[in-house]
Amino acid sequence: MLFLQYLVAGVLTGGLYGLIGLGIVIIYKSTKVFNFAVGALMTFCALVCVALVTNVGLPFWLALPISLAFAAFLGLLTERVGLRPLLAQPILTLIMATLAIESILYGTMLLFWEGYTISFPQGVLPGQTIFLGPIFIPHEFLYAFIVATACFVLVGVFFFKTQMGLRMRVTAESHVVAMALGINITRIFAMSWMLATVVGALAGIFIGNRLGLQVAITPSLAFKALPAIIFGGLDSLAGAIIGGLTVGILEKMAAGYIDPKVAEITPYIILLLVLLIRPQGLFGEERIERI
Amino acid sequence: MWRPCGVIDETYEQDLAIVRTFPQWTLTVAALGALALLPAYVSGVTLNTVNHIAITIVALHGVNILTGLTGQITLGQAAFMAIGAYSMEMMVRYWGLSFWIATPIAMLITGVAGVIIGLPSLRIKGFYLAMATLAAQFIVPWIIVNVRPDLTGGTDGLTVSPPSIGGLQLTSQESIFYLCATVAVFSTVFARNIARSRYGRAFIAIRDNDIAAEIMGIAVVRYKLLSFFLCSLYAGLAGCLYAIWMRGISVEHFTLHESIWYLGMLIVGGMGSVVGVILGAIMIRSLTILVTYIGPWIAVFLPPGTGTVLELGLGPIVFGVVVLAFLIYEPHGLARIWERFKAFYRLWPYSY
Amino acid sequence: MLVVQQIEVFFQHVIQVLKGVSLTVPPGQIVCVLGANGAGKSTTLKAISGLLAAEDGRVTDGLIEFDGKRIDNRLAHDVAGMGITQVFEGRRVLEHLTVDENLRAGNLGGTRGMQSKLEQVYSIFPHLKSLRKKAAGWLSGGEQQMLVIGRAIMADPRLLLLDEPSLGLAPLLVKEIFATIERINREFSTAILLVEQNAARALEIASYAYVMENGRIVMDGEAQVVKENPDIKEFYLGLGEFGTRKSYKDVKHYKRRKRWL
Ligand SMILES: Nc1ncnc2c1ncn2[C@@H]1O[C@H](COP(=O)(O)OP(=O)(O)O)[C@@H](O)[C@H]1O
Ligand SMILES: [Mg+2]
Repeated sequence: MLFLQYLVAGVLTGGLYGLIGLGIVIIYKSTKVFNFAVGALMTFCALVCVALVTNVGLPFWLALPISLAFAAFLGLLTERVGLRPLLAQPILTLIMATLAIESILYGTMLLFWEGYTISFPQGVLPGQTIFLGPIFIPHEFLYAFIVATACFVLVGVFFFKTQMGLRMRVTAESHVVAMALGINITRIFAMSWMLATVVGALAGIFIGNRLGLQVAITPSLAFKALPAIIFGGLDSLAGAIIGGLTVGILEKMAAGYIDPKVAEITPYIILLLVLLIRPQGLFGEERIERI
Repeated sequence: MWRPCGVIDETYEQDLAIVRTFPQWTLTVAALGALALLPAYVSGVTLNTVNHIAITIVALHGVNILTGLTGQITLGQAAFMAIGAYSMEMMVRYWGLSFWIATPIAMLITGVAGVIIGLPSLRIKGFYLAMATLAAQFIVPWIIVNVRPDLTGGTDGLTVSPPSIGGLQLTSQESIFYLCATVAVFSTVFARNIARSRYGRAFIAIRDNDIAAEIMGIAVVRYKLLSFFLCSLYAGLAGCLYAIWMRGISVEHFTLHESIWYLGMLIVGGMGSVVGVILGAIMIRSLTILVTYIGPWIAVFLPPGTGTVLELGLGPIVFGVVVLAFLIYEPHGLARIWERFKAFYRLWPYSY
Repeated sequence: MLVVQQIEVFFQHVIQVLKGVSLTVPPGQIVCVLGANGAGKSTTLKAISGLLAAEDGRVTDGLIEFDGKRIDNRLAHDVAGMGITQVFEGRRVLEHLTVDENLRAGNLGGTRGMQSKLEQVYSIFPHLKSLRKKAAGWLSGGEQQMLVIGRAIMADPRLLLLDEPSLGLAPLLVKEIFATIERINREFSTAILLVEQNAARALEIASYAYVMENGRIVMDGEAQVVKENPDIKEFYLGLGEFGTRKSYKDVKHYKRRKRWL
């Protein structure tokens, strides 16, 4: 029975990791940039949402779309200011650029929210913790899981069924070919950053609902999504969700059966193992090398 | 290596020298002299900052060897420093070793740890490797805090008693300054010599193209691990210095953000350049100090109570903006600006 | 339709590759550009399609006009939107995408008319239809060449820029590719600027030809006329001057050869 409880908790947390991972994958897929700033972006947007609810006094259903619009704007800004000038630079430069952006966002958040734990007022999300016999399910996480699933389906449909999604995938394959096919790649970059930041913001808002937000701590939750996407394969949408679930479940199992403390680093141990054993992940695109 | 016109080597000794011309010698001696006399002129607070810069330079030389020369991105330098600092203090505390003996051993321990963390680099590159070091950056402090909290003091950390040399306790900032400055100078000379040796050239070859380097007969595996080893050696040393400078250690001091800052300093200074390491460390560390002075200034215009927050938040913002600006406008960093200045100075008043 | 006048192209502000190239492509015609490796043929095509910028290159002098509008140094996707599509040298398929997706990606507009365009391409290359679900990276060289040409047709271009479509293909496939090029030109009355090493076949299907060397056009004329030129015959078509063995002591010959290659 305990096992079931851990499994459910793992799946629910895993959904969140998957959602964060999805944001990373979207950017990576179309721009080949690995976004280390995802944690700061997500925390920032979630904090804005909290501020709208508590300081401005907006109802949650109104604050949510406004903060998602803000997320889109923030993603656009980040891309324009930080990454557009660095098109086609070496990997180290790109990593450093996202880290610099992370630092700027981190500092800005400290200015506004300092080090306090900030959470949504109680009962922003309707409903309460669900008890299924001995298993309990926090309703916030259930919402998060449903939204995460919906995001995956929507983004999947977008990437694989629409012409715009196809263009994003073309851009990911080759910038030059994309340009020759009449694709405005700078617009694609901007779009994927906006989309990814919105997805990240959703994750942040759900984390804020359940655990509260803390400037110094919440961003590093996003780093726990890293093993999830490496595990799933950096450019695979399905990989992100499966990787997220796997990491979430393993983390909760470790917390339950070994020690809650061990759970803190379980994702990183998984990360190291995956990097050592199968760096391209389980679902990553195979490099096609014909001779 | 580029040299100004008119500097002609007649012997191998001349060719190998770092300090070459008479003006250079004068400048070097003058600079070292000024450094030696520094404590007499500046306040303890400034000296404290200078010590921090010296320690940073030592750690940054390590990052430069690994990331700047060999091209292996590390987000774990602070964790390595923690390994060095903790193993030093534990040996002093529980085995009664003196600081002077414990430090070299701690450096070796850190070096070996670095090689272990470096193992994934044999298979992965780029941000995959960055992530492996990131994992280390989270795992190492966790081990320190959780495995034997009775020995390491857990989250509280440990106090470090000042080491003594010939009956003199290194308690004052001044005495710590002489230690840190000496170590920083020797680290710099050593780093410079690595960069221009066979090893340095092998590192650069691996950075530029590891497959080509392999084909050229460079034992890539060995050199990559060597590079991790050297990087961690420096980190271990810097960690030990940090411990006695802070008079205590705690995992709070060795965070991911610290590691990120080292990379940022390297960008600002100039990748792969020994001069850049020094300039980058000085620039970023002084900027943060500057911010703490400017903070209250700006706070005058803000609602009361936001002053301290400003100090906290402004540092990372300034750091991020500076690093981003360098990435975009001068990716070769301060070292390149320094080169340009030297060329300008030599040629003045002609344009070439 | 396309007029290129005295363009000069620099890479990284210092490497001059084109030194005054002029050429014209009239509507609905095939024009070919011949020349040795490194002459600057691909660079000319990239200058037209606006892809120089991606390699830090610029048109610094001269002008390029398409339907009377200046297009030099325009953004690549704008140029593509105006009806010019380039097919790269070396078959740049989108490896991880399926054949079908590769073709769909070529369609500039929305999804309107997608199906009929797809059918059109599959009717030209029936072989591709059987491969439509396969990842393009696994196709053979000839199939990939068909795919990139098909992808270009999806855009409904009025001017098609083809860079060495026969490179590295077996003779039978080469023949097929050239037949297809002619067919595209005939059926859709697409103007084609064809860069080729295979001079014999190119001159067969082209109406006009330019010969390029070291960043300059050194000869141009009706394809029939160029084909009969003795130098072309010797150095591009591989037909000896008098069908006799050549002696490298022949100074005059050597000089001429040097001028060409
Ligand atoms: N991106 C570039 N940067 C510098 N030089 C280039 C670049 N692209 C091409 N070149 C040079 O321009 C010349 C012409 O190249 P190209 O147009 O590809 O020749 P062709 O297609 O006729 O074989 C070559 O000498 C090549 O080295
Ligand atoms: Mg070419």
